[in-house]
Amino acid sequence: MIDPFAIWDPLHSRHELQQRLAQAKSRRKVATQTLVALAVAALLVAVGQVQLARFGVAFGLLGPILLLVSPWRGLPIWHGMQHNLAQLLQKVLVVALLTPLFVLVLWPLGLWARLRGEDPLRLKPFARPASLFVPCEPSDTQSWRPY
Amino acid sequence: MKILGISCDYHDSAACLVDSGHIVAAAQEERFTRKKGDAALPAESIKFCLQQAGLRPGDRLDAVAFYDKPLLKFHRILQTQRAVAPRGLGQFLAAMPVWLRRKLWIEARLGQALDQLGILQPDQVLFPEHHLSHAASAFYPSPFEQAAILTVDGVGEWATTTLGTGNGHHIEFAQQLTYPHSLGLLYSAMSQYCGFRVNSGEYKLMGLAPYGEPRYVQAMLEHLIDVRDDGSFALNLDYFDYVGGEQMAGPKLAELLGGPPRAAEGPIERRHMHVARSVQEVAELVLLRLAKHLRATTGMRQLCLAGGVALNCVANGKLLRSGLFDDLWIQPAAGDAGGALGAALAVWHGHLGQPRQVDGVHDAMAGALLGPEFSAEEIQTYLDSRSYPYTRIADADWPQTVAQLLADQQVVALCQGRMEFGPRALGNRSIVADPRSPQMQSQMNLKIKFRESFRPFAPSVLQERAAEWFAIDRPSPYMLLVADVASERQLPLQGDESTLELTQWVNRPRSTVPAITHVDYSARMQTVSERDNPRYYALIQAFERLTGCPLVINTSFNVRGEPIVCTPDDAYRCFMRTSIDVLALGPFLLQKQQQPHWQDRENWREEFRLD
Ligand SMILES: [Fe+2]
Repeated sequence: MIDPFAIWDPLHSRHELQQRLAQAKSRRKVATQTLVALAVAALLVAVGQVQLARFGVAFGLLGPILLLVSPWRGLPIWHGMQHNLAQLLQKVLVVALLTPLFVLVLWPLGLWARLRGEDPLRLKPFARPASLFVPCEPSDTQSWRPY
Repeated sequence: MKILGISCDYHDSAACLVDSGHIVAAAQEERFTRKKGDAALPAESIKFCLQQAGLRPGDRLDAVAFYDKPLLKFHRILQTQRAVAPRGLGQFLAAMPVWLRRKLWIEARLGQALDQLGILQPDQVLFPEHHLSHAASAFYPSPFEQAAILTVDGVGEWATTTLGTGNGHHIEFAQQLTYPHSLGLLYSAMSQYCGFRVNSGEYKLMGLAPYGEPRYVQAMLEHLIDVRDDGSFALNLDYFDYVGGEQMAGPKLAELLGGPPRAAEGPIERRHMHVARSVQEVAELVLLRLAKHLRATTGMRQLCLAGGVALNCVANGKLLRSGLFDDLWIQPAAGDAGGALGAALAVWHGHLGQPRQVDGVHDAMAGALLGPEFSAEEIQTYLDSRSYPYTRIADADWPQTVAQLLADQQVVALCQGRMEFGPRALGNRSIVADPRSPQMQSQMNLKIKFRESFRPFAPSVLQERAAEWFAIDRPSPYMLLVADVASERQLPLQGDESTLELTQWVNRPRSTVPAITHVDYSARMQTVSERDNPRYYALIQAFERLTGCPLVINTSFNVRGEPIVCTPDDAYRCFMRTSIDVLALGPFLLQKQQQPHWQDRENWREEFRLD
């Protein structure tokens, strides 16, 4: 048996690792990933404090996108295809799904924000105080969550 | 208690293992996969770290720390898209699939990587903020009990600059600047304007700066960046394209700087040198004001630095000489690779509340020699299996033997001991040569590094001798401080040099050690102490005995665009592909003339994308 920790020949062991990773891509993984995706989407909607709730609508659309885009390698339909063709189709799929998301959700949200005079990135250079620092929240050093 | 720190998915991924506060191992993934700046999940680095810590399949890690908060970063990207829509569709289409397929699932992917190694999942994966990881990497390993902390980089989640303090094992942030107002991104945009690659070309821009004049400083301060007295600043985004666009620099920038951006590998004009000098001065101005503000508001006498901008050793040198702080400590892996180390330490000290042990003098980085090491037996097995001829040198004779080769104008590549963590080679994966030779610089550039460089090489000098050769009064063990060559060793200018071609200009001797002296008499020096690297120290000491010169040229052991070598095999391949004369592989010496004919693919250099 090959010692999984052998670092003498990284190329060799990396190849092994990649092979095993490829084999591990199964339907089970696809299902888990999708579930995780939906859970994260729900979580993001829930954590209103970090303003992510605004994107609730967008994330509502993420589920189906993830189903189609995220596990695309796992779907048997792709396996028989030429690599280039699969890549092209993937690109078409991404553009076809994400463009409406962008145009129908993000753009109107952005326009709405601008109409209300919001400047979340502080892009406008007028009326600035003597100091441009933003105070830090204690949570910056005390939160250990991914958000 | 074993904590694994990880940084990945942006650039230069890395892993680090901290065992009860002690840094056991740290390495960048690029060294194993041989892909420069590899951002992939660092599977090989993780494997190395676990092995170094003695973990075996079936063992359990106590915690995994990821160096930033992916969901908060995702939030910033969506907010940015919202703020700039309908612009930014291209960026959105490029970014979203990667986020949806990979970046959001970091916890699951880490779990999978550990699964593959048979390591049991830790109870929790923790996510310190990006700049907390930087701050932790700067403060916790430093020798200071308390210090001010400044982190400056491109961008983390939202923060681009943070100011804080470290006290014992507590880190507190007071103020920050947020995206898109970023000194790192300004510097990167200017690097791109000058034809250098973002995330690796910034070092070249810094190296180009001394050739130029600060002609654009006023224009930059008027139009590009609004710097306040306390060092806080805002960028004028009309001139940049990175918020929502595909490029860093926008078209208006070309108008301001009097011409189009330089094409990659195109000729370097005077204008580019002036731009480089100007942005360097602007960066120094901002950093000095930030430091002054920190000194005044915190009252601390020591300063710790990290974040990609802290790799700007010219600015660091000025900061030190400004006298604002009594002492500086800069994390050697100040970029995002060091975030892996910071994240693990943040969990140990910050989350678990474990105290630090500091002595006020020595840091906890072990000379940054935290990577893999190959024993003499392993190297011998490798050499024998390939039938490569070698001679074994006894440890006691090794310094003298190698020093004699250097004195005989041979170029020697060193692959010994543990690999360095961070972007600089510090003697264990280095190419070394005689700095006194006037031809050495161009010879090494063309035949070994395969580059036409305007940057001189760096010197490694015995720590005790540093003050005799350079205008510096303290150690610079990680090549992060630039200082002038001592005035008595400088050579006067020979007429007007401003008309020279850059390649001629760089080869004009500036001192008695020309190969390491920049056009402005500066050198980005490394001081070598017996404590951190006794073998390398002994080599330089032996070289001094032979020549009276206590320093050698030290350049990283790689060719342009290639990651620094890691294994004996990487070292041998690089040795045979270049004009390095001798390879010192642990205790073994390999002479180029004695090696069997090296058959390489014609196009081997295409393996490495030029940086
Ligand atoms: Fe960073």
